[in-house]
Amino acid sequence: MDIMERRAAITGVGMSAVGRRLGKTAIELTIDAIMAALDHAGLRVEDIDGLCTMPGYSETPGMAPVPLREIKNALGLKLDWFSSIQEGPGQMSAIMNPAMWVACGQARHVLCFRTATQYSAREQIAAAPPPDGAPAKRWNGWQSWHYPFNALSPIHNHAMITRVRMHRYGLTREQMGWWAVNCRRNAQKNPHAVYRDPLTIEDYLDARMIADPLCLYDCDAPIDSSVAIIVSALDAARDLRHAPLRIEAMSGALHGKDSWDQFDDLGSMAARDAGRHLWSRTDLKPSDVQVANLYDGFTVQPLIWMEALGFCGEGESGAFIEGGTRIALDGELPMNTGGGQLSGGRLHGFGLLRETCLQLWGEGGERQVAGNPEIGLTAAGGGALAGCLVLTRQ
Amino acid sequence: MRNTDDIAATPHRHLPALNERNRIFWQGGSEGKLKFYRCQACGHYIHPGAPVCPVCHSRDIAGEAVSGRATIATYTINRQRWEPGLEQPYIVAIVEIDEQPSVRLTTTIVNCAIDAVHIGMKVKVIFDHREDVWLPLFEPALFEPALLEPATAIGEE
Repeated sequence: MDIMERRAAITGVGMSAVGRRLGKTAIELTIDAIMAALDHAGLRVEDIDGLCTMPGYSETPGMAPVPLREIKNALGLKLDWFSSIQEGPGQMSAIMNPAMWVACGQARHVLCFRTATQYSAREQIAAAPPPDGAPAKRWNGWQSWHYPFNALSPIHNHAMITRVRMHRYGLTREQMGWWAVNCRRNAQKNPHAVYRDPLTIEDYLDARMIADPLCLYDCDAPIDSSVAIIVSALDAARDLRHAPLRIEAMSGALHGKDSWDQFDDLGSMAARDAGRHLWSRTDLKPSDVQVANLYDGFTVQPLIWMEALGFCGEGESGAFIEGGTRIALDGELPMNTGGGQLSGGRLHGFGLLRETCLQLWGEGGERQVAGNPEIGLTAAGGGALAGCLVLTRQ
Repeated sequence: MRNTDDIAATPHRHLPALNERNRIFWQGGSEGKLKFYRCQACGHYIHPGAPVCPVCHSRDIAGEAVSGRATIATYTINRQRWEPGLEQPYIVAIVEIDEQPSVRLTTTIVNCAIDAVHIGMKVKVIFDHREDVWLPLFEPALFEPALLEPATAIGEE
């Protein structure tokens, strides 16, 4: 079997300012990120012949403030292929689909971007709150199965997955707290992270409950930011500024139902299928991975991913992260080296992939993993949708 | 601690848009019944509703009532006030229906002390009628005096 994604490589990454009240519009942030990524790769705007984002459109305020066509028209791009990924295997589908475009020769250099202005959106809503009284709008789709029961936030779904894992595997809040502590420790070495104050396991255990068993420090942080990542055909990537980071293997497999409550196993969710499928596409083993950045919109997601990806056995992720040494920058498998989304900010997986790339290029600064890592993994999603990819520096 | 999300204590709820694939589910409560679409060929309950069975792919689908009995698969106790007028704490749960545990509902557990809810708890349906929708909530199925604090029944207020 040909593993066609190996014809694709990441050649450049860029990020706008990250944070709150940045004084820039969503499209300005996006252009900042794109120009940084082009400069990083050593490409010009004219070299871009493919364009992708996710989701492209969303009813959630601040979730998709910049549609594809705005960037195409703003930059005057001449595209041979383009698409936004409205439905697909999680946030990485906006990287994995472009990998297939370049692998089949429809594009050479695809500009992939993810912009969110969820902090600004939240401030706008807070400034003009909806009046008390019956919400007039009727809901369709997944919201219609959750909102009538006041399951109004993704935290409710994740809290219920966490509860399953506590019941089934004996996962404890203290174990989960070490994920948050490790992220904050790494964020303190990342000048772009949004939360850099010290965080102890005691701080975590004392934090306000949001949806028991998840507390404030189990949740990532809404921010304004944009990340751009360039996916190039491997044969077009060789002469650029950095060694290409080839996609060794990728997966977005989903065998269970695409649903928070109808998925067949509430303890593993979609990561199970993508993780299992990933390793069927490479001779590399989980133990070969030298740096991993796993989606942590909520603390339970990386725990699921660790097991789905075979970094530890089923039900063992709590023990794996306990104490925070094995996942530390100098541990056996450094994870979420830039602070993750918990402390780095919610960049919807693109921030995590950027961080993996920086580590493989030796650009991690104060948080650089030692030993010149060549093999890195990023996984995003973790509920009903999941996608993951392994990168190898060429 | 009492669950503040008893039906009367929740001033308003978000409501689903009705369509031909969900009407039986959302309006079954008008007859006091929890209803699902069911494959008439192989007996598989289909939720959310679809015009084809995902198991045997038969197109012979009809709405049928179930017992309304279920088991809590997991739950969370909400401690954040997400909207004006929405008091906390309240219990959000996923329940598995007795007839086919693969059919699960995200729902709210009412008439149950917050501290008493647990995985494996037997519950039964109780409907919250809002406009043209009967939302299936669940309450403890077994009479356990400790669960009710104080003991009141819906409709007595």
